[in-house]
Amino acid sequence: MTTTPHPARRRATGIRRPRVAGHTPSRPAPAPPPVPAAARRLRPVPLPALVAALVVLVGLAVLFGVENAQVRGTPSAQNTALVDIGTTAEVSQQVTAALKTVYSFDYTRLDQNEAAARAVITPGFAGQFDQLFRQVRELAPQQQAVATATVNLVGVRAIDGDTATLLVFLDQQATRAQAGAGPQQLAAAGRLTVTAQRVDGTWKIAAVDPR
Amino acid sequence: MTTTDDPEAVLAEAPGTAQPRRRLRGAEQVCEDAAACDGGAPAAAPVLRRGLVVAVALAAVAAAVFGALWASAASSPELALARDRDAVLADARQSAINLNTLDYRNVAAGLDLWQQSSTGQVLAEFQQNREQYAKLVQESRRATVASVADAAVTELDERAGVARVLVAVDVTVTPEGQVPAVTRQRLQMEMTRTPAGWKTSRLSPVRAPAAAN
Repeated sequence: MTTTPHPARRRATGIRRPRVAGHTPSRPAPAPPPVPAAARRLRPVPLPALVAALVVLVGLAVLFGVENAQVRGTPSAQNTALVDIGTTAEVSQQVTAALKTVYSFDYTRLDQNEAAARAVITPGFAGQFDQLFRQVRELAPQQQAVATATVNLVGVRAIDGDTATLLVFLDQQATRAQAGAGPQQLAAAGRLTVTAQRVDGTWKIAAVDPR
Repeated sequence: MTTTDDPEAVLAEAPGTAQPRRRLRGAEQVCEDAAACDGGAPAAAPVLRRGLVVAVALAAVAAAVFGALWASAASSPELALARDRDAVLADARQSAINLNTLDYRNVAAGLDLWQQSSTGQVLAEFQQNREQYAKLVQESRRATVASVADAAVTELDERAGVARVLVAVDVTVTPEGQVPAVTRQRLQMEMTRTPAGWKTSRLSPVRAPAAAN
């Protein structure tokens, strides 16, 4: 009894240790005060009301969460074509320039043409380009062919992150020599679905599907 | 001795527990407090209550957060623009099909569809020349069926309700008793918003500059 006002000494004696178990000194001071206050405030709410509130709020949270995910998760919402004006313009311009490079050639400068084209395509398109350019290398010199591609109209159909899909109306005008006649003019009107990929900040041609 | 004189012991001493003290410490305190104010509530209720209060609070926060996210998404101008863009595209594709499809055996229905798919000067032209078109198609005895290979919106002015769309259309023309021939067309359409959806207000083929060669 005489030791009670001095916890430190009491502990030192070791007499009460089993009962107090060493937990008490840290416990009484911080814990109790807030709890009674909270309990007093919340006590008037009956348990069923709490349960009902919980059910309603969980229901609302789920409903809002699902609606939110639906509104934001649609393919329409994921596609930033036209919504992100800057990126849409950037894709249009860079893919237009890349297509001109890839689909234009001059039989006197095929090495330069090929190098320029390889700079604006992704490795994924390299196989298709190899095939295309093999034909050009075979035929262009003997026909003295010069082809100029121009993008007549371009529409960015979809942008999702670093991938974009475009519909391009591409025109190609070509000149080739004819035996015993003047140069022949050719024109072609193409419809291309182009997939572009952003590589190190630049949009490059990743696939071309003639339509 | 300890229960009466020692203030620490009073707080520490829960009604009849010694062993599971560590585990039930929180519960004990609530129990004590509740008993003090309550005059003897069942031991489990305050624990349950506390858990419920926490759960209700968490659910309220979740509902508020998701509600705000949903509200911002639902009223987002970007998402509205994305929806409009896709609505224009879908209507333009259907319109391109309708306006390139006409069967000489069923001209009236085909021309009705033309008029339903168009507005503005295109509609005016169809209305004005309906008889001529009907006569022409019936005389040529041709049926055309269109499908869309690809399409993309190039411009969209939401305020004005006007959009431009590129459409790659494949038109299969079947003259009576002959083999069908497919022509691959490039179209640019202007779409205008109407109460019944987006309709074609201008329509022009996109030709290559020197295609005549």
